[in-house]
Amino acid sequence: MKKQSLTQRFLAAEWSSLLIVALIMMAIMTIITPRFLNFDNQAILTRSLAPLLIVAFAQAIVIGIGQMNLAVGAIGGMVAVFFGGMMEVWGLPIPVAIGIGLLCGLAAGVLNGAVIAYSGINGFIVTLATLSIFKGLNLGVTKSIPFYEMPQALQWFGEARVGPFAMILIVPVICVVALAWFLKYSLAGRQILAVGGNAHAAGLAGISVNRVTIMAHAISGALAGIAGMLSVARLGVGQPTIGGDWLLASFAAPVIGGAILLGGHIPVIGTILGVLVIILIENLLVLYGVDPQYNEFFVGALILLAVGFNHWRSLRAEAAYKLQEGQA
Amino acid sequence: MMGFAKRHADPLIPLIGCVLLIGFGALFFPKFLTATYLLQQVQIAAFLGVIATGAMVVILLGQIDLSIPWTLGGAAIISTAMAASGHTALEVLAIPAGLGFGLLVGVINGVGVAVFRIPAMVWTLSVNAMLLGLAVINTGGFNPKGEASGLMIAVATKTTLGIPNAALLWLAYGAGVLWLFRRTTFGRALFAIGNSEKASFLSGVNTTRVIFAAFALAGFSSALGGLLLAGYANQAYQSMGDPYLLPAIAAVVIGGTSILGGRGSYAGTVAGTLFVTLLTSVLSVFQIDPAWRQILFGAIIVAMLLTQRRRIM
Repeated sequence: MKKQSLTQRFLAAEWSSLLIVALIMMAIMTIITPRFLNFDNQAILTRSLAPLLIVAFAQAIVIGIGQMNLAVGAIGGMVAVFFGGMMEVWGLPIPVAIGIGLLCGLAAGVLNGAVIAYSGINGFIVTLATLSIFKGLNLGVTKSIPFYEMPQALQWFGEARVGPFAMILIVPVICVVALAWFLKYSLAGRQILAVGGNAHAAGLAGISVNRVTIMAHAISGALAGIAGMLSVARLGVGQPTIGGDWLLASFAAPVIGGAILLGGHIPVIGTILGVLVIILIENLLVLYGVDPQYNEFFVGALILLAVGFNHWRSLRAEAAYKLQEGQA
Repeated sequence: MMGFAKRHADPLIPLIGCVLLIGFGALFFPKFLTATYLLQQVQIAAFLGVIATGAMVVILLGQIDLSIPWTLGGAAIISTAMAASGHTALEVLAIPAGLGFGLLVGVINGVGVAVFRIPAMVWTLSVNAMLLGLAVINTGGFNPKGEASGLMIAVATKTTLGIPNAALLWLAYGAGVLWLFRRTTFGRALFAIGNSEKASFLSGVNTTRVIFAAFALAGFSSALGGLLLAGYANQAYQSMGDPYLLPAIAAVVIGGTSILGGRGSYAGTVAGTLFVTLLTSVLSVFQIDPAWRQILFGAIIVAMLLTQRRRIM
């Protein structure tokens, strides 16, 4: 095989075209509205980017084993109100509340994973049903009334900025780096991809498919919980509606990034760029002063466009690959 | 006897569940055993039943339609707005327009899944978001104006010979779908594609066309459900479809249809629909706290799935 130049390697990467799309979007937005590069706007952008990044990976890890987690939003919302409630009603210090919130997310994920693994029922339906349980717990704790009295430190953290970046961006950065390392270098992470690639073969190779399924869902639940708590920091309020609108973006980002819903592959950089594209779309609408009423419509339409484009590109890439193979 | 139970096992478990629910309810509220209550439940079940029929057709393919809520809501908004417009021509076209809207959404879903080959989860969810956006733009975020036409009200709320018209419509619609499943190449192709799309394609089935038709039928069913609900409430309202997505899919799967496609019986879906409707009714009659109602609903659905799964395995 010929040694590839850096450019060739860049173009061969699955995320290269997505990066170009994101850069073009940013360039156009900068040219048309110089306000885009404004530190204030960048802070707004990174503030909404932060929770969604974690949500996307909460979904991506389950997509990695070829399943889905429809309950990401419900788990996130549940942990968010638990987190808010523990601090307001019980007056727990922030680190303790974070710890318990994390455990709740983890437990919700383990519940999903265990039911799926030991019953053999498809993950799609199980999480659809448990979603209603988590939403019920959320409703039971809050009675639909948000927790308003959040600690000063948390509110400060939610609003602080480092130059153009929101301080809260540090949480997804840590999560994503840890997850990328986990998937690439740890035994358990590779087992997740092996089960997603071919569960039967993985089982024959001595991997406990049930254990891996529970692990992937547990990580997903914990990440969803972190995203929920981060949303509380971002909003400064323990809103029961947190997580309500995560589902579409959670699927769209990994799919735009090149994930295969059959499992076996988690595109880390692609998913990050997928989230970035979705957030840029939203930011575009805000900057142009588009009536927020149109938001939902355009975000839906543009996500479809992005998913469609990337799908077309991957089909082209596959065809080109086959052609090369044929010539060789 | 065992043979009979085996052949009809799909609807059997949810039906046993229905009997248990009614029996349990009757212990506390004797009105559970009256014909009025049971007929009323069948009437309410008919709305979900029509919607679940469409969901089932798509699930048989191994696909999913998550655009149910706003296909339903959109059809209801269009029909009620036209029915109350005051122009005779528009009033006559109110129902066809609503149903046509459902078909159109179904075709758009079909294009994404069959032609662009985008996962149905993502595509139909985006379509749903777009429809929600369109509805908000259209109504400005307020409750849509308009009211149901006389025919919609008559079908949804009136009875014929003591039997609710909605239930009769469900019966006719179900019979039509059953005929499609059993006696047409389309029905055979649905099950074949659900088992293996590749093998069906190689055997000469026009898979693209079948997927198109299935999604169109699902969109039509959602719209029909929307018109019935609008007739029942005599209006369309924002997010009227949201409480129907999970129950519709739950009804289909509790009825023994495989979420991976290729396996399922319509009788199972009917029984599943009755079970979900009765469960909702029992939970609300007992005036359980809404939070617990949701938790119990989810937990009981999981329990039903476990029993159904045990049987199939």
